[in-house]
Amino acid sequence: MRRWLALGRSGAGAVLLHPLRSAVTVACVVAVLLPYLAGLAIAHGLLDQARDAVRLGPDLLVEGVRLGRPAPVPLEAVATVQAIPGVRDVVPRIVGEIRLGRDDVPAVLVGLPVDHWPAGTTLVEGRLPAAGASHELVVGAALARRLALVVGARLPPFYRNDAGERVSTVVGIFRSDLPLWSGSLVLTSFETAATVFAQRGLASSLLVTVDRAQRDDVRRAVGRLGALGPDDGHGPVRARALTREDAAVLVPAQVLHREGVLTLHWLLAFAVGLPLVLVTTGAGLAERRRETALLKAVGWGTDDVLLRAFFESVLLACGAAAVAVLLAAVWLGPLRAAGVAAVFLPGVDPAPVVDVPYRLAPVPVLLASLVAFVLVTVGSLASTWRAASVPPAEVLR
Amino acid sequence: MSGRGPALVLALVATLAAAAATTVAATSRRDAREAARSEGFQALVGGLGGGPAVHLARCARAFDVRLDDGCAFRTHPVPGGGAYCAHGLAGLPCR
Repeated sequence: MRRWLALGRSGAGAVLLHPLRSAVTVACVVAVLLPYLAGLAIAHGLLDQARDAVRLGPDLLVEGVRLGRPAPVPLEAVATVQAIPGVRDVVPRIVGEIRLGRDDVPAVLVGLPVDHWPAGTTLVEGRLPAAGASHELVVGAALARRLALVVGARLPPFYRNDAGERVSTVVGIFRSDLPLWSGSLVLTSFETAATVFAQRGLASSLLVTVDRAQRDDVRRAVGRLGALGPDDGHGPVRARALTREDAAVLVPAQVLHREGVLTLHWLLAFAVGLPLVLVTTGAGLAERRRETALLKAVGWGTDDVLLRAFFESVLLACGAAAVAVLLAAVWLGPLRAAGVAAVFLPGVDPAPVVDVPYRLAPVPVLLASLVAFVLVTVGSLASTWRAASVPPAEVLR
Repeated sequence: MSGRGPALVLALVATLAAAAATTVAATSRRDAREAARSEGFQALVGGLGGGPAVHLARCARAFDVRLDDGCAFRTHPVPGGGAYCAHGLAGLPCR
């Protein structure tokens, strides 16, 4: 035991013998691990929020289908779907893209009947829009900052409607600590959204609440509907229903797919990092050869020298992995993932206004620590083994 | 090497490791207030989002997989164009 402690102490001393080499090794390992940890942490955070989007979403999402693609749903379908046994509530929703401001900043306009909203909410600075085509909007925090909008601000008409265009009023701004998708959101009443898109009597989809026991029956009944509304001369709008269970498979799969893609990219970085760390940890370093030769000349065995290098590697790897974790936490937390969020999350500002979700899960951290250990050990042990296998007299001559 | 150097290195690495472990323990579980805000927002909008994109400008599916069937760039501007879609992570294909 005393021998192991002495070797460990000597390994710690070896870290200080070549401070530059140790610092560069740690820096290389951190450079490889940090993007991986940050990316996976964002993926895990996003997954939590994505699961909320599914869990708090409708039991059934009913959309129209035309030419094999999603199509708007006529509002007559609300009564048709409501009449299906087992259906408890049907809420039409409009979701569409709009452009705001001189720079055509993209935003997502969501229109919902105001009676769908809770009476009071703390999620918004200000208040929720009033009923009817009041042209009152709640805008996302990122959008508000980009367009310099405050509660009470007036927006000149940003849409085209032959029936007339009106100035809109910002009556609320979403808090910045809400899910990512709130940042570019514009929430308004269903009537206002219909006016903005100049589409009367249509919804993007129907949010259907059903009795749990009859969910499959309702889904089948929706699928059997001949048409969602009266014939407009272009043929029927067929119905398509997506259950919460379907969404629960689809939504996380998308995030997990991206997590896998990130891991693939990181493997490439790992492949590049390995030779780099091999160099910095000793391959070709004359100091390591001389040091090993000196140790062997004073009586150290090859296994002692290797164990010393092993302890040195463990300390460097442990330190590098810990630094990478701490830097990832600072980067994603107080620094709000500045720079990295725009890489992983398309459309997010380089300095995000909205909180970027993240969760540093233990498994990726342990994996990163293991990789750090492999990276450092492969370099130092290989070079130490090479140096230790040469007779010391030959090296010292 | 003799003296306090090795002990300092060991102490530094142990401190860093403990700080990292504490950080992971603190951030690996979801904050209850953040979860409540997320649930409140989703209840307000009827369940929206889930993808990595924050708007619909290029790919509605990347914003919410329920809003569209597939990547709009899969067949545009060229077949296999999804391979160049910026909404696939770091340039890799959307599905």
